[in-house]
Amino acid sequence: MLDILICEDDPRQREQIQATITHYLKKHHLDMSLVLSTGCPTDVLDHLKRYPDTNGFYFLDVDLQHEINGIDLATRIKEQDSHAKIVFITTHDELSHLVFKYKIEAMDYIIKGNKELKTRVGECLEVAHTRYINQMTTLDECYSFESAGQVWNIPYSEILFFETDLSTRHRIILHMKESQIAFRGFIKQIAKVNPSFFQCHKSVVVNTENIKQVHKASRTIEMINGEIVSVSSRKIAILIARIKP
Amino acid sequence: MNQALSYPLTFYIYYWIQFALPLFIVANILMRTYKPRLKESLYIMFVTLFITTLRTVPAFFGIFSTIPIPTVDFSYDNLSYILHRVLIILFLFFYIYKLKGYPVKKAIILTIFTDLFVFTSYFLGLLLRLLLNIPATYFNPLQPLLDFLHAFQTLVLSALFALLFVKGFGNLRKLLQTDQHLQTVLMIGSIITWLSFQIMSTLSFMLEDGYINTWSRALLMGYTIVSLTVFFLYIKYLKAKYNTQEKESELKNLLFYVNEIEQQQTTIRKFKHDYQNILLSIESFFDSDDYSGLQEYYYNKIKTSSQTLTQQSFSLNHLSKIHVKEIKSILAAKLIQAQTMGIDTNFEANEDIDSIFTNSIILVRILGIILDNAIEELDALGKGKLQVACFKQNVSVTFVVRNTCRDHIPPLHELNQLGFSSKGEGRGLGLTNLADLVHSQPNLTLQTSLSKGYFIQKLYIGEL
Repeated sequence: MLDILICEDDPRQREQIQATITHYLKKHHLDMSLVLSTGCPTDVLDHLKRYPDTNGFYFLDVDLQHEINGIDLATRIKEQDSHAKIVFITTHDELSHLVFKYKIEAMDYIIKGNKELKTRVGECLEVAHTRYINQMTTLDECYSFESAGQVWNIPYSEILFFETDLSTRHRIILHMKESQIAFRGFIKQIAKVNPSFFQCHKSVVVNTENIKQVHKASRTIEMINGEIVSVSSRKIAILIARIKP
Repeated sequence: MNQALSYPLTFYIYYWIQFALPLFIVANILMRTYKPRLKESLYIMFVTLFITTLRTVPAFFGIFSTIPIPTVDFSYDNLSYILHRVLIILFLFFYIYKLKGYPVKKAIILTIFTDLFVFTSYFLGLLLRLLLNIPATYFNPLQPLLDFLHAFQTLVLSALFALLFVKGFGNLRKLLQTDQHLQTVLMIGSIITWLSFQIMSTLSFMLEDGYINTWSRALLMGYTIVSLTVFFLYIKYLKAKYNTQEKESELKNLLFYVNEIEQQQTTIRKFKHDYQNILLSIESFFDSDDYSGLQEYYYNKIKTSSQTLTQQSFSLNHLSKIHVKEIKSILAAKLIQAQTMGIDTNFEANEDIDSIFTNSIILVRILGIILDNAIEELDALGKGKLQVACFKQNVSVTFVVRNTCRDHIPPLHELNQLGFSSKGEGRGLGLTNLADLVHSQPNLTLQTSLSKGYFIQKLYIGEL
């Protein structure tokens, strides 16, 4: 069951959102229920303290007329409820796309005064519901590493390969489907982390799950995004044997 | 048979400690790598022993005339001297460049500095002997002992010099990392100093009576010290100049920013004025119970003025949250530049940023490169958005720069190739340079993504 919590200081807007949600839930029979609707951020935190296992979906106003603003509140919610799904309700003026997306990893945002409020709330509820179902069935496993004093968790499915940077030792570049990141580490240790990882070269560990094709003649691997990785001659037979079955 | 050859093994070890080993120890101190690695240690042992053998063993068999006392004319011995010097310098360069993975310029600078440190220490020992009036001849029975003392003195002194240098000129390192020009100056300067030193030393070795007249060596050492001092004064001057330039551009950027804020102030003042008028008008509509008139007034006047309020001029408002001057300055400069170019620009910072735990010179350069790339891309595109954000996560600070990019932008792995640029030769070094700058600081991490038509650079600055 996904719990819905609303925090909006303006009573009229709060009622409007509340009404939209209850109406939508009744109509579509989603596995969710509205558990809290308040104007005060501390109520939300108190609720989480009382029910620490809350699996929540939060509608948060950014400007709450309180010392805790919506973004602070979201940060604190995330500490308690790591799978929290958050939607911000904001004026055009306070819109902070990047902070919403990259700091809070918010699901979405709804702009106040927009006539499409109803449809937007409905869309958010749908998305949250699907994510909730997925979260129940597959908890994606992650590769973790530390860099710049932070722990990074990258889902294995995103990982293409790791390579050591030839110009500087101990720097590893992690190639993912859509991005790249460099961190300090040892390539040999990475190969042991996950059974689908394979050290195909002195300086490369490849994720065998994301190989598109192995070219035996040129001793290269083509990854699913078209990147080419070279394989050492000793490893190519082992690699082919490994990905065959 | 020469006196020196009466103790071949000790001479061999002496030579190893005096001329071969210190070079690698000093080089490692200068590179701040204090932990030995097996492969490197093997290389060092092999090279130093090889060079020592090359220089000393022929003497045992009398192939060359003598070792410590050179002949006056240009003999095999001088040839052997030059040969082994060239070889060991090459081996040292190879060690720094290949095994340690330094770029060429820096490797050259390091090699030369190492050699200068070792030789200055060696000559200091000679000078000491001279001052204490210990005759440096091979007819002295205590000669082996003195030689060993001298060798250890060279080893210890050069290591000490290197340590002091690393401690004293630590910020020179940071500057070198950020400034290619300074690297070139330092390289050329050190090559000139070193070459003149080598030539004079070799000449004195050939022309003088070797160890017997050491005053010429003392003179030589004086020359080295003077030239090195002049050289460092010049670097200090360059550094000061560089700093003033930094400060000047910072000031210029901040002035830009103040201008921008003043313009915003004017807009707000105008709005305040409008607002009072609006209230008065509404009141008059109420007084006359003219609701349809009010409705019309609302949609025609108030709604439109509130729209202008939310547009552009306030999109950089959040810069006031950044309290680190250098960072505010670079962000203001680049974002205002983007705005004046007509790019839809937005900056977000919801929390006060008071301190950032990293070298601000490097951070300014990194942000400069990232923002320049984004602006360049948007300018070429002629449309799209530039969004920048700065926020805290626990103790770390994160910068996000996101820009719209071309539909047919090459995949990320091609963009990141060395020297690649979508705009022709010579302009793609930004990304490689960027990676080096990021890597120069231990607590920086950069994530580059290309997703759904956006190019995104996320820079994380962790705790030190």
